[in-house]
Amino acid sequence: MDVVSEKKVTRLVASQGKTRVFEMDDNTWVTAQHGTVSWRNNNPGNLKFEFSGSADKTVHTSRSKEKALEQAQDRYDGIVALDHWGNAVFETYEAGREAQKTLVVDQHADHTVEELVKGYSTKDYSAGGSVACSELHASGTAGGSAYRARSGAAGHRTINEQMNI
Amino acid sequence: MTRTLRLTMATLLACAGPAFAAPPVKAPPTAPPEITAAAPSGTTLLSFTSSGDQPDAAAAAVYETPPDKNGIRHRTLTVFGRNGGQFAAEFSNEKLIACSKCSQFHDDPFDGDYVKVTPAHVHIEQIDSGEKPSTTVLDFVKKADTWQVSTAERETVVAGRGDARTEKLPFPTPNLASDMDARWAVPVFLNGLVVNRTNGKFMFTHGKPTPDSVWAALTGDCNKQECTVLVQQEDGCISLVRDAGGRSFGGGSPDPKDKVQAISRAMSACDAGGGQACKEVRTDCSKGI
Repeated sequence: MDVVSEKKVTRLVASQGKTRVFEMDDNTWVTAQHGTVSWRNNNPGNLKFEFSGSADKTVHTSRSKEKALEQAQDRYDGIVALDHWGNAVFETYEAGREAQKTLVVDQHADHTVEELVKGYSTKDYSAGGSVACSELHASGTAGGSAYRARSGAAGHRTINEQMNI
Repeated sequence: MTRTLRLTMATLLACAGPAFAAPPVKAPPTAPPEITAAAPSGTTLLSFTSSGDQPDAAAAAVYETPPDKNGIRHRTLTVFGRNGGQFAAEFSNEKLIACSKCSQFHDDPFDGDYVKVTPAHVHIEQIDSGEKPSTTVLDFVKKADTWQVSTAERETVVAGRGDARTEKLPFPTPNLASDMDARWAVPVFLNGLVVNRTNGKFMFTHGKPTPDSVWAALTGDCNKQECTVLVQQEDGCISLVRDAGGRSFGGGSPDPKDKVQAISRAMSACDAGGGQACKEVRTDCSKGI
């Protein structure tokens, strides 16, 4: 199974377009770019919690992002954050898979496989392009001031590794 | 490519919002003493919102009971007007605010952050935890010294996915906010473990409102002559354990996050039944729909 990282995501540092920057449980940062949103976010079930002000302009709820995250975390284990679309970010791919199983059992227990597929799947508006990830290490010179200011305990980092998956 | 990535990173981080942290625990509401003193017997203040302390100010307080035997807390809304420098209760209603499990997910739709109060107007939104949330909107307005209902709408998204269904909740006649019923209830979802006595097949059933509807859902797979319900309960975990001879035993726990208790109870049932080499086969947990 291709996953963004074998480490646990502890924080969503940034979310924009098809790029996510995560802080991992060893304090390194990982960038997940392109691919599908389910891959980027360790979210194979595509769980998406609508909130007011998200990038999804079809959403009309008044629920705040903080409230949506609080409710999502109450219902599913392992949700770390919501990205700018409302897609859940799970700490591991396995946690995302467990949530997906719960979702399927909760919503499709009486459905045929055909009904399940039609009812479950939604268009992945952010998919496409190649799937790649970059891992950041605590050394180097690039990154810019904003980047350094938010680099936390690991200090000044740079991108020095890219992987095509 | 590295340069592009560096630029992307700088842009991303410049645009990054604050770090996502666990939601803070809400502090108990602070409210004027007359609000606290107005709590119905056996309740405590859950939330308080006011338009300020101007002469025509309004305020809304929600009081709640301790958990009942099913762990459910019930709420009363009291709306206040400013009178002689203090808030005075103008109406109360026990049917406007959702109970602590009054949603399809058996979670709490009420959050005091979604109560907005301006003079002569109270706006309340109650939102469940669906991916696409179900929302109940209530508006109360004060006209000629009487609080009336001006909006009562519920948008429901079954299981938080799919299309929303909007319904207008009926206004009371005459239109008095004190008589409004927002029709909150704790929906029943039965879960169960059914085993076929003849071939040993097992089925976990989920989310049925009545025992009869469970059997109806099993039509073609099982019936009351061939199958036995080992466990049937609402929220929680259900575990199936089998012994070396293939006999099935079930156990349940009321906590949907406590698989261990369900397994332990199923193992105990197996041991008590004289089972040898009892072993967990499967454990499912569920809460709400």
